[in-house]
Amino acid sequence: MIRRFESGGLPVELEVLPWACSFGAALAVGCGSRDDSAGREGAAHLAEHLMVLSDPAAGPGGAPLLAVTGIDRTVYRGVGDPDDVGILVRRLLDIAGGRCAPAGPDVFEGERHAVLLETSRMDHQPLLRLGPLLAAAAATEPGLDAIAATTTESVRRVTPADVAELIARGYSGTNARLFLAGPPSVIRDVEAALERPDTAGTTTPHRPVAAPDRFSLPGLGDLVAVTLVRPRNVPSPALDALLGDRGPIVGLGTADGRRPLGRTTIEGRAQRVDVAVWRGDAAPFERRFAEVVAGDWQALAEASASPPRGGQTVDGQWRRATPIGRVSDAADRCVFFPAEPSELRQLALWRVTDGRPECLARHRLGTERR
Amino acid sequence: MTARPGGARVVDLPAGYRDDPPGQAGRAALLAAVLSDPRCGGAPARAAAEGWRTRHRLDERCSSFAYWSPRPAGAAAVLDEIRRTRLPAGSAGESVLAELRARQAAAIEGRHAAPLALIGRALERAAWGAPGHGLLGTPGTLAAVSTTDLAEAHELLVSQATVYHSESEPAGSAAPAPRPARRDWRGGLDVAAHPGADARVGVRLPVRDSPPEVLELLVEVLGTGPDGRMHRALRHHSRLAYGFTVACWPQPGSASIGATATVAPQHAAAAVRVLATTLRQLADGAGAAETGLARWRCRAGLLAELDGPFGAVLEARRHARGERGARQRLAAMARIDTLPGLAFAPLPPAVAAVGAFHERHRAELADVYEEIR
Repeated sequence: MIRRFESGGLPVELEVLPWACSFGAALAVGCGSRDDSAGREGAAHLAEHLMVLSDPAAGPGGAPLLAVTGIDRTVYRGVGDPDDVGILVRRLLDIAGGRCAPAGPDVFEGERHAVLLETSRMDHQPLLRLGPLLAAAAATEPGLDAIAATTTESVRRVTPADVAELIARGYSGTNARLFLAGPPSVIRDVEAALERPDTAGTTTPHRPVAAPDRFSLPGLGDLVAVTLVRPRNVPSPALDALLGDRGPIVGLGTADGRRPLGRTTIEGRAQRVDVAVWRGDAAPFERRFAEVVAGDWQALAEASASPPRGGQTVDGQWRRATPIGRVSDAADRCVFFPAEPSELRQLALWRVTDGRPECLARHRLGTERR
Repeated sequence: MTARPGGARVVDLPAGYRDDPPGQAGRAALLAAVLSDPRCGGAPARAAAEGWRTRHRLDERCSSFAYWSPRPAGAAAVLDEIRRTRLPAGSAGESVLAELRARQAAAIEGRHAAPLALIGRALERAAWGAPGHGLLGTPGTLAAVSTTDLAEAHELLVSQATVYHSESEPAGSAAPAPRPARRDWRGGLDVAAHPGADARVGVRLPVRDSPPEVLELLVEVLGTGPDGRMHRALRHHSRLAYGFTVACWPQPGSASIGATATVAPQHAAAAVRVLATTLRQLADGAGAAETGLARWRCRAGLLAELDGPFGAVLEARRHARGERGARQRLAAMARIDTLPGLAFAPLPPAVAAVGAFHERHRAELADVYEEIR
């Protein structure tokens, strides 16, 4: 059973689970790396770090949150004591409204240092940036390379004022969704916590910043990649299987002794891009790509897929087997407005030379047969 | 949804790594690898085909297998499936066994291991010295384990297996968990090379016997997230680390508490100093407000654990074996209003570091060890 509320413009969903012992909460704020201003890439990530901090002396604290900054959203999640859900709910309402404890220079610089350590991993492993670069080249939705465009230099340039400006622009009740799940005993506490008069702060129209120019990854070459652009949040076992481990592209490559060097999925607001990268010559992949797009791609893909069980994959059932799993899943899947739906389903083959992707073939896939 | 999603079973085989026969160290782990390989049919083949989630734990006297199926009764007959699991006959079986031996040998050397596992292992070495019992054996002892040895062990152990489900029998119905063997703390510094941009450091300190719930609450005071002391010490006061972990080992007679941090290699020694200092400040205990928040976090975490796919069945297993369950831990924590100071044992700390260190970093680590010991 799902109960729906609104608190200061913030839509809230509470899933009541009679079997649950614990309480889970996830807040999705429609502000991510794509909202970084040009030259200040990393500001959204730094905002996330500052938001999860709390000073118990200064306000609601004590509820540890895990947070992830994505391209179009930042998701905060945590588990709580069902006997006292107010701590967690109020904390997330504060974040939704862009309120966080003031960060002194020690705190700001400490969190900047942590973001720098994370960012420097991409410097050591340039391949981590290749997936977003290819996704941005393949998709029509702008900004899919926003996370990979973050550099240690851009993080060093971010100031407290940049972060405050981004929070003021992107954090508001109307630009967020709160998902809660727990036993029936939490209903009254949740309602009470949502009744605070200042729940989600003032609402500010979301104003995405134009994506920065496409970057390159010098030194990265001798690579071949396949991208699959598809609508976000539209389940498709056939598209899953098309770039699946046993599918007609990755699976055949593996059979030939060519295992992917890496795989990733990049998700924007309306599109997602699955990416697989191999080292070596593109010729065998060109042949395979041509065979797949010339034939019945859906039949080829479905022939390699595990049959779905009960209309829902086991992965999905596992992910949603706990209160925190259910709210996390909802926060990852929710659609923010204005989300212009994309129907594009497109497979493309790329060669990467000196860090720049060159499209060798592109094929628009038809809508799947049901 | 009125019923908990899916269904889980745990199967315990009553032999752990300390039951490996002389000259065959690693046999229990190898048998577990066979029982987890879909090529051997039975339970792992069904798990792979139906998308079950599985988990295996090998301890001193027990090899414990957990299975979760999206269908509530999906794994109900898993013991029969385990009974049918065996190496293929003839050369095919020898070939699978050779591959499993090679995989275990790679694990012994730490190849492909996650950095957190490597630092955990290095901390174990620093705390206790060279382990007397190699859980995974050595390439030599693995080579001594034959297909016949594994088949005989399998037949014997499956006949003595215990199966648990979320409504398992009441307390004390299963063989109680044996007390871990007592070990003598050695302490020391263990530095291991590992490539990558990040280094990991860890400090573990022995403590005098302390109730387990006190240790668990003190771990939360240090914090497993940004609300604890460790986050403030590592990130804000010293600007050293990205991630960190805090844990305790509450075994009576050999209890300890420790922390690890992910840092740049050049900051390894400084981070060790911060970890040791922050851990030792637990000697002053924690006030009511800090204790209250730690209790809230522990309670939230334990209840979330109970809701995990294996949560209910593992709680039933603990109950049946007479071990402390989550509910007992919660009740014990509820009685603590302020945390007493932690009494550290007068023994040298265990310190470990894993990363791409230059000689200069190693020298700094040796110096800081002398400073904090």
